[in-house]
This record gives sequence, structure tokens and C-alpha cells, in this order.
Amino acid sequence: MRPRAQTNATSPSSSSATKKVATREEWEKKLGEVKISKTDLNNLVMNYLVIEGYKDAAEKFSQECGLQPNIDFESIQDRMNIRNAIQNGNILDTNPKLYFHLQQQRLIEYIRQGKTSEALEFAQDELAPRGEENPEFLEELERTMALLAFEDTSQSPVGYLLHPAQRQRTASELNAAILTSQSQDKDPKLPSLLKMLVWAQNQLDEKLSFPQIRNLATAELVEGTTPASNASPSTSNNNNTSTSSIISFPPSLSST
Amino acid sequence: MSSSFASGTRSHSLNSQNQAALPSSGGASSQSSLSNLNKQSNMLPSKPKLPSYLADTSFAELYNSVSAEAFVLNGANNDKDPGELVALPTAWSADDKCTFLELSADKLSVSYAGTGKTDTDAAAIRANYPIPPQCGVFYFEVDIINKGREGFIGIGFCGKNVQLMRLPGWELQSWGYHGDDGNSFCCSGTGKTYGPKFTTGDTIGCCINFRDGTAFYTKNGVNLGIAFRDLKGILYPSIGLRTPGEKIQVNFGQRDFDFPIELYMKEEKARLWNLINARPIPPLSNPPLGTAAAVNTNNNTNINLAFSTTPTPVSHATSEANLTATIHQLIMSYLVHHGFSETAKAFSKDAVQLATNDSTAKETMEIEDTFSEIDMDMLNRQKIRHAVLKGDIDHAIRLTDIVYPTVLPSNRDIFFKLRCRKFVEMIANCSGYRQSPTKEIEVNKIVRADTIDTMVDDDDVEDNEELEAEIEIVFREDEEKGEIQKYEDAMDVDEFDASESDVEGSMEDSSKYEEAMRFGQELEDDYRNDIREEIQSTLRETFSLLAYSDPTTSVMSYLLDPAHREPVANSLNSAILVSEGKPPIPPLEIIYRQASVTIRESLKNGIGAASLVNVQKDCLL
Repeated sequence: MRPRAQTNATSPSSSSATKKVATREEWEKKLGEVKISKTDLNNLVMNYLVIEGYKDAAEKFSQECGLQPNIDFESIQDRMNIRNAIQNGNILDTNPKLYFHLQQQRLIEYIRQGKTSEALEFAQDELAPRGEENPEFLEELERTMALLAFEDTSQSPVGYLLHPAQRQRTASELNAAILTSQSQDKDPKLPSLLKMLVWAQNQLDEKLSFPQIRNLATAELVEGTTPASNASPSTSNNNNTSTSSIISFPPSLSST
Repeated sequence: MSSSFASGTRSHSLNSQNQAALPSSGGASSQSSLSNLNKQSNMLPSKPKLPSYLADTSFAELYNSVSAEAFVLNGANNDKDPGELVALPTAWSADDKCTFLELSADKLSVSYAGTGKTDTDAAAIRANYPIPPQCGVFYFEVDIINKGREGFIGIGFCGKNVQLMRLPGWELQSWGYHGDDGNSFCCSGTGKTYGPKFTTGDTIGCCINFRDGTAFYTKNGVNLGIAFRDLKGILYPSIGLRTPGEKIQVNFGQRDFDFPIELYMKEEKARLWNLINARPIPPLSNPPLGTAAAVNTNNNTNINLAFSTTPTPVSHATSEANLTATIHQLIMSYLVHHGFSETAKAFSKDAVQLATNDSTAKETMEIEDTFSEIDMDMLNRQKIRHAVLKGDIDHAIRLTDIVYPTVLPSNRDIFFKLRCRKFVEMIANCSGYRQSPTKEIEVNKIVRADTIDTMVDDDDVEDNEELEAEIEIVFREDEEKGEIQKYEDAMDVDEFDASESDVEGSMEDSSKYEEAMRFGQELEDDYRNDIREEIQSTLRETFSLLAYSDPTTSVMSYLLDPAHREPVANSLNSAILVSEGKPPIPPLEIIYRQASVTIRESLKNGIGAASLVNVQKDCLL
């Protein structure tokens, strides 16, 4: 509704934000506190070798680092095939739950339109076999079929299935599956880690001056930039020669 | 504050047929009556459970890392640095409300008790805590229990200092969606057409997305689309009522939501990853692939120059190529660091094959030359590591002194650790504590590297050639074997089968025990005067093994666990690498640590998007 009386407005609080600074010492202490085991990193490397198809290296690695060779090296090609299938758009083959929900939605639409015979036929041909595979699906199928038993479905306990929210739920699920298939899930983790680092450093740089990794291959920490917005040309030149050093937090922290 | 009131009325509210009474109001009421909890005898302060849609976020980790006690002490302080905020809204505030409003005992239901004549009779209430932007996404739902006389109900959020005599959206720093006209109000008395009206029986959801600074509403589980943009700052959930009979009940995540917010979170996460993946990866400034991946790490100057300039736009293909080259270097240096020489060789071959199908013979030669040099170093370090992991400390010390003579003299603390470990191994041996069946040490050629400088000059190409010539002094294998054999005879570490060692057991043990005692005495003499606490505590811990007739069953038996050799081996490996001018920690590990800290600090600086990525969950397996 629209107010009739005008009152004094409180002024928005806008304090001029100054960029904070994290010193190298503080930062390195935090780096040292991160919990990461050698096994985790070994797995990260193994994951890359396997998914990207470095078969020989993966085999040697499993021997040398003592990781139980729980990866079937012959399956590397299979994984690649699945990945390609997803990248080529065959999302449904890899997501039976989504497939069921899409079919269920179609059934709901038949019922909504009063096409009872089509609904029954469709349920028997397409959905019942899925229900046999999975008790969860069977239960959902039974609930959906219950819609047919009610004269006034909106008053029935399963009436929610006809609600627009149900459509949206299915649509969201499909959307999430498409987005997931485009993103990192079936890809090796190592590239994600690097990209996340590049992105995160960039984000934080707007708020905080902190030691950053500019060269991803050597992972050397270089001092954070001076506040970017008010940096004078002369200081930005000096940045070129900013010190870099190899960090030296206790290596004992890195092992389990 | 209504200190005794809150707890006193809680049981009452369960009896009363108050529609607002929730089955799961424990989280909210425990917080509102904290002062009582502390007075009540055994009850520990508790931290409300995080709503399930936030479970996989980085914010969840931050939230879970705060102890219940610290949460109670600090969580409620709204004036602190926004970065320290971890408490989420869990109920309405009993204090931060207009007097025309009545709050139920569980602090979730609000009803209007004013006259409701004009707009000056409007009344609003804020939640007990602001929404920490670092949670990434916040969602709550409001059930319209009763639309009252006119249904002038506003649902939204506002800043801390916005006055509560107005409906949400009418003031600066205030946003709302109103039931009587379906309009959205953005810091203004004039609304914009937004969604349907809402009334008794409807459930209205409000979602604030701190990644992109937008908010949207839902009605009965259906998303109504973005209502507001450019949101920032510290915001409190808020509702406002205006006519008699109006009543609402909030759900801050104590119950299931009508709207599938978990799916929305998944979509949001995927959208963010699409953005992250679109970021170009800078090119390498070092030559790519196996060529000197690990050798060249201290050549800094050109690196800094290459990255200080504004990055020029990089095509997707170039970025992908950069990424692959970077990963190859990271993996290679990781393998070299830990001495995985066979993998490194196999990987290097694969990488070269993949990178250039037409690799000329010369390039291959170069790679192999460099590689053989790395290879020697790796094999040596691997051998030393294996010796430590086998419990063969003397051998590890001897090898280190031969191949890297500067390392132990300049790292006395590591030398100390090795000696302590040796003592533990001696004790373990004479108490018949046997672990892994010892493997035959693979005796490869050992390379003398005592002329390796820790600093590599600019003209290191020439130096390397000289160095190469010098370090190729190969020790005779038999000499090495003899050394190992002598040691193994003395220590009786392997090659005897069980029955044999049992027979000789008692005799052997007594002499071995004496030897261990002699060594222990030596160790104590050497470090008695070292006043550093870590040295003394390590000594005490180590010698405490002697207090038990059978250390294997004592409380100190954990020391005997071969797993404790690993940290010693790692320290020694790192010290050797440092002595060669290499990082003590492989770059890959630093990358992980840096990503982890950067995300965490981003959260502390209120960057909501950082909540939607989770280094551990997204990047580890």
C-alpha cells in the first residue's frame, strides 16, 4: 500500500570504505593453518591424471604414492565417454531421477487436461517400468496416480501436484541439471581449483590488500596491490618490482 | 530485555492453542533466553542449527567453526565488524519492534494490536539478528495467518536504524512487498507493480542474494521474479502490519519451505561457476612442460613484469592452453617435490606427446637431459624418505650427509627430530615392536651434490653445466650396499623370520636395550642445556617411553606408530629442497592453501559470492 504521511527519512549510511591490509606475516600464518593432507593432494593429482587420460602416469602414481588402486584404469575411457555424452547434451541418460520427474510432470499435465486414458496409458508404458526399478519413484508415481481418484483434485491431499509450484520444481531441477552438466562436476578438480583461486583473489582484492599468487605455476606470493582506486601512477610503477619470496610456513602442517 | 519472561512463558505457549506455536521452535527460543540459560544449572548454551540450504556453503564452515560459547558471547553483538557476523536471523526481536505489535512467546508470530486508523499507525518489526552478507543467500517465508481488516501487510527487509512506525519499503534502506496491492516498494512511498496480492492462507517467501545484490519473492512456492537490485549493507528481515486483526508467522528455516530453495542454491552455485570458469587463465612466464619445471622456480623478475601489467583479453582457447600448461607444471613440481620419479617420467612423456605431436628429437633430448638431473635429485630424496619411513634413521642421516652435506648442519632442529625418532625406533626394536615388513632398499646410484648452491645466478645455464659435471660423481654401489648391510646387521631390522628372532629375542633385546640407553644418554647430554620449550617437551615425551616396562601397551605407544615417521620424513625432505633453493612446500599445495584462505577472508570481508564456493567440497575428492 501507499503511505499518505511523509516522515523524515534516515540518511543511508555510506562510510568511505578504505581498503584494509593483510600483512605477509598474518597471511602466511593463516596459510599454515589450512588443513590439507598429502593424501588429499595425491587424490587431486590422481583425479586429473585419470580424467584427462594420462593412463601411464596414473598407473605409476598409484604405485608410487601408495594410493590403493581403487581406480579401474580401463574405465578411464568409459569416463571420457560419459563426459562427452553430457557435454553433447545427453543429460537425461545420466540422471534417472530428473528423467522420472520430467515424465511425471507430463503425466500431471495429462491429468490436468482431463485426458484420463492418455494418462493411464502413459503411466503404464513409461513410468511403471521406472517405478519397478526404484521404490522412491514408485511411491511418487502412486501419489500422482491418486490424482485420478479425486473428483475435486484441488481439495485432495495430492492437490499440490497440480499447483504451479510443482511445475517450477521440475523446471528448476532440469535447469540445475543443465547448469551442473556445463560446470565442473564431471571435470577434473584441479582446473576448478586454479580458476577458483584466480576468481577469489580478484574478488578479495577489492576489499583487502593481501599477498597474492600471480604466477600460478610457481605459486609465489607477491605483495597485494596498493588500493587500486587511488593509486598514483608512480606507485603502480613501483609495483612492478614488488618483492616476492618463497613462503616458509612449517611444512609439518602439510602432512597428516 | 525480558529475562525471566521468555523462559517462563515457553511452556505456557505449548499449552495455549496459539497457532504460532511451532513444533521446532527450540532453536529460536534457546537464543532469546540466553541469559536464563546461563543461570539455569546444567544447560549449555546452544547454537541454532543452520538452515539446510546453507549446509554446503563456505559460510557453513565459518559458522560451524564458531563454538557455541563464543557464539553466545559474541554472536549477539550487532555493533561489531560485519565480517565477524555469523548469527542468522532465527526469530523476531522482542525489543526491536513497534509497540503496536504483539509477539508470540516463541517470537515467530506477530499480530497487530493498534488502532489502524491512518498510515501513522503502521507498525514494523525487525529480526533478532541481521543477515550476514557472507552467507551468500538468505531466504525466509512468512505465512499470512490472518489478513485482518485491510490486509495492509508488508514483507521485506531493512537497515538497523530504519524507524519502525512505517511499513517495509517506505523508508530509505527499506524494501518490501505489500499484500493489499501486490506492489514492491524500494526505499519509497511509491510502489511499483510487482506481483499478485496476497491474503490469509498464503505463504510469501523473500530471498536476498548477496552474490548479485538482488532480491526476489515467492508466493506459495512460486518465484515471482527479481523485485530489487543493487542491494548492499547489513539488512534485517522485517515485516509491517497496519490494520487490526492482521497476523503473520515467520519461518526462518526451522521448518521446510514451500519454495525449493535448495534447488535455487544449486542453480546459483552453477551460475557462479559459469562466471568463474569464464575467467581467463594468465599465460605461463616460464617455458612450458617438463622443461625445468622445478629447477627454475627462483627466477622471479620476469614473472613479476609479466603480471604487473593489465592482462590483455585472452581468448578461450588460449586460456585453456594456459591452464593446461600451468597444471602440467604444478603436477610436475608436485611429483618432483615428493620424489615420485616414475610418475614424473611417465607424466612428462605423456605431456610432451599431447602437447606437440611433431616434437623434434632435439627437444626431446633437452627434456631428457634436464629430467635426468631432476631424476637424480628425486631418487636421492626418495631414498632418504624411504629410509625414514622404514625407521632406518641412521641410514637416512648417512645418506643425507653424503648427498646433501649442508642440510643437517644448517637444520639442527631437524637433526634433533631425527635423533629422537631414532631413539624411539631403538626402543620399539627391543620391545619387539614390529611393523611393516621391511623392504629391501633399492640401491641405486647416489649422486654427490655437495657443490649445489642455494642461490642460482642469472647465468645459471653455464653454472648448471659445470654443476652437472661435478655432481656426476657416482658412488660405487658395493660401498653403499656395505654400509646398509652393516647397519642392518647392527640394528636387526629385517630379514629374520619370526621364529628366528623369537629364539634370539631375550638375548638380543638386552644388548639392544643397553645400546638404546647409551644413545638416549647421549641425546640427553646434547640437548639438556637447550632451553627451548619445544625441544624440552619433545625430549620429555620421547624419554617417557622408558617409564614403561612394555612401551607397546603404554599410553605412550602412539609414539611407536610408524605413522609418526611421516612428519619427520617430510621435514627432512623440505629442508633438502630449501637447501637447493626450492620451495619447502610444493606450489600445488600453496595454491590450495591460498584458495582456502582467500575464500575465508572474502567471507570475513562480507563478499557473499564466496559463500557459494567451497574449496574443500568443490575442489577435493
